[in-house]
Amino acid sequence: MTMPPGSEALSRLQMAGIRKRFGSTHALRSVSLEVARGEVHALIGENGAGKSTLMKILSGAEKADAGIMKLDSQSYQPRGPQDARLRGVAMIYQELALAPHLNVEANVMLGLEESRWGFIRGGAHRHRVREALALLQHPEIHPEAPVMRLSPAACQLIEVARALVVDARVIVFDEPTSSLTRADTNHLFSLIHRLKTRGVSIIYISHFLEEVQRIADRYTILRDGQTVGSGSAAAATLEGIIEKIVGRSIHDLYPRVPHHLGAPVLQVQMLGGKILPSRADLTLHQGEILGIFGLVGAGRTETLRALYGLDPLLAGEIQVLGRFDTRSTPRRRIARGFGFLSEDRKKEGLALSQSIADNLTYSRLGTYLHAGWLSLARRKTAVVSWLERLGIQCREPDQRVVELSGGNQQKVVLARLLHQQADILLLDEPTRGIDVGSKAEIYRLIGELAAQGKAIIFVSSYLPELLGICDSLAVMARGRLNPSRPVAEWTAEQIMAAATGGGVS
Amino acid sequence: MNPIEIGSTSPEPSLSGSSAKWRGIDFWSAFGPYLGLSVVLLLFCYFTWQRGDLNRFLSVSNFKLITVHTTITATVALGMTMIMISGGIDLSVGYVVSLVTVTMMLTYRLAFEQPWRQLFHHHFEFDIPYSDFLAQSPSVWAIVAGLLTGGFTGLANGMLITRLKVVPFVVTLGMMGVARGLARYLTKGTPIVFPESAQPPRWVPALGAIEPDPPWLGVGPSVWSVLLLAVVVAAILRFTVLGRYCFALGSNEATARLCGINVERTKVILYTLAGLLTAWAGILQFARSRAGLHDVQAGLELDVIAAVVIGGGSLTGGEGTVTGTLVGALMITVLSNGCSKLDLPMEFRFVIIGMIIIGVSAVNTWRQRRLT
Repeated sequence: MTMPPGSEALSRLQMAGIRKRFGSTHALRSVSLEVARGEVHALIGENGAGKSTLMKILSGAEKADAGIMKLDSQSYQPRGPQDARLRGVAMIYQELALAPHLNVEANVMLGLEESRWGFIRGGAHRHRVREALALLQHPEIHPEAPVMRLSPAACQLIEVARALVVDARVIVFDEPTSSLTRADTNHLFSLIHRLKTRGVSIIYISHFLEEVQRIADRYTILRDGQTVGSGSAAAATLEGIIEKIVGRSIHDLYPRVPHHLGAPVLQVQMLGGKILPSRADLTLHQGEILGIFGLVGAGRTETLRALYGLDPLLAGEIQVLGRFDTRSTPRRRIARGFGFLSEDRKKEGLALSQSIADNLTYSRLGTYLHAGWLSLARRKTAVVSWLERLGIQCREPDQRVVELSGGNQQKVVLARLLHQQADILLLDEPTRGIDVGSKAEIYRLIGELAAQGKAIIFVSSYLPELLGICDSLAVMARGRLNPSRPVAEWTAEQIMAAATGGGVS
Repeated sequence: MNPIEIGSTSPEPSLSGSSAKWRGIDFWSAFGPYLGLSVVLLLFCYFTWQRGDLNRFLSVSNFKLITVHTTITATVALGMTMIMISGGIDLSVGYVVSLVTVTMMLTYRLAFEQPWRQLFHHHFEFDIPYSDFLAQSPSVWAIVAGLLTGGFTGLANGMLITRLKVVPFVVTLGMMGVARGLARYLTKGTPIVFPESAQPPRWVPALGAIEPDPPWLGVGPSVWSVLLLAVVVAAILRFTVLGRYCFALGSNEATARLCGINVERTKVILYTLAGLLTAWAGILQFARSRAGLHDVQAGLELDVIAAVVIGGGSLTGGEGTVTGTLVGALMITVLSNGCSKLDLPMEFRFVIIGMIIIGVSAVNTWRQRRLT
């Protein structure tokens, strides 16, 4: 049931000419978004396109510099997240925003407590929470269950319940399926459908375009802080949407550097970790770019960490250059030519408050030792040459890493791996949170490294980039990683089915 | 249109692992503190029995002694429970207790002796009349001064933490130094006692008593005061908005902010309440030592944090109970009491408490890992 767009009477939310600057960067140049009553509206765009800034403005967490917002034809200027929530705009966050130690009821009513003389009116709370859970058709969730013990899907429902107790008119879902199983995703979709029938407007943010086509009535695409397209989801094609998201044709974004495959360098059989992975098999060749696709929580990161010796192994065997070398530590792995790029650049990948030179050389400081002392001058020369080779833009090697852009930070991590002379690169979401231009550079860099004979595992939850640059691709679902197949043998539908289904086990 | 009817023909299957298991009470968090206390009691019973003087340890009079000796740690620990649940910490408590005894005794003496009369007489040859109003109730002024001292340091802690955005560890460490220095400056390093011309007021020995008068009270009035405060704090944590915000802050401060909770105000209130509880501990100390002592409770923070941690509290916030804390505080006192009954040196006690803190935290970490 698609709503006729633009009709004033049915319009629930209008955002027009929204601008926002952070310092010197324009996060939003001129964005407009219109959502009708009872409509599921997909908001699409790359990381950094401005989706989250726009949603922060909508939910009151940020203030727009300019622009008009109207909710049900009335001026809407929330003073803060709580004000927005009370006016009927609720946000379901990607990282679940719950207090794990509190129970369901306390979480749902957090900030909305009904009280007399400071004492909570428990009866009134329970009634409202029960009502909301009944609306969600999940009365089996006990209001007094501690949230810590609930599954991600149940936590998400509690956030939705949080929206329902205030009779939300607009609910924003930010990447809601990224941590859900396929069955829970189906539940979520039927829930969204029910909310929609009640007249609630849904703004749905997702990277999974197939999902968008399945559930959305209309869509709006953002790129570089601007609205670059919108329309009816049913009428749009996948290619058309991708081109608008990326802003260039797919060939420019994924430059292919010719390279060829050599002998196997890493063979993994039936690898099992403490919880994840449950079973991982793969073979990586010299000069190969092997993509691993999977949803968040499928066990991709855990597999890489186990390979690198960061997480304990319970089962399986690992062969490096033909020799069995299953149990290890990061230190020994580095010595054998491994390099690991963490998905969490800010917390794990880099020591943000330290200098570029430090971050680049931590893993092989030994080469600059001279009678027990660090030869800083020699190190500086080496660092400068790496900065030039990777095109890292910075003032000086002693600049703190935190001052660099996301793309340049990621290049510092890559430079560290190269500096430690890694030949087997384990890259976990290397393009997360960086702009399109930097992505293209990183893709090219990875291609060049493969051409030099390095073996690369590229983990990503963004399918187009894997299809764009990988030689072979493996899919991970629910802890299970099956051997890779050449990219040409996959279709996008097969990959999605394998990633979301995985029900063979 | 009734929304509940829509599609309700087939209720959805329950979510994977959503709610089935939580009803089983977590054994360790519910009974762990009691178990620990029982083990310690049994161990001391065994060792004293071996030495042939079980009666010295396991007796009604020793029980009364232990409960009264627990009161100061327990009172401060009640405030610390709230603070630690909210994700904070207060290192200043020990010297604040000392400072409270000092300000109380100074105020008592001021109200009683009214030394400004002599000053005026000397400098201006002007006689101010002796104020009966002040002299009649020096205890009231002393208690007010004590409560103000504790409340104000708590308020200052809260304001500094929220306004300057400095972590509680550092702010309260600084406050510890301030209280320590002030107490020493005010006493010039020597104990100050009641004026020679006056007996301590009646409430002082009564409140500090180990054998209560009347005897049907069973345990000293200080113990009853702590139990009453414990009920109040437990009620605050369980039934008030403040209590709920306290848990929310410690569990996930970002979420609390997102839900419109005034994080700063909540913290200031919590630290002030804790400061007032510390002040009551100071009053109990005053009644016990009958003097203003500048370093009487140095090192109390270790005992108090240990009590909260033994009782299930966590240094990362979100967890803690009043009953657990009381049991923890009792355990600390039993340890020092038992050590003295076994003629072990006092220093031994610090070693044991230190090891218990580490051990309990290790067990908790292990439990957390097992649960997730």
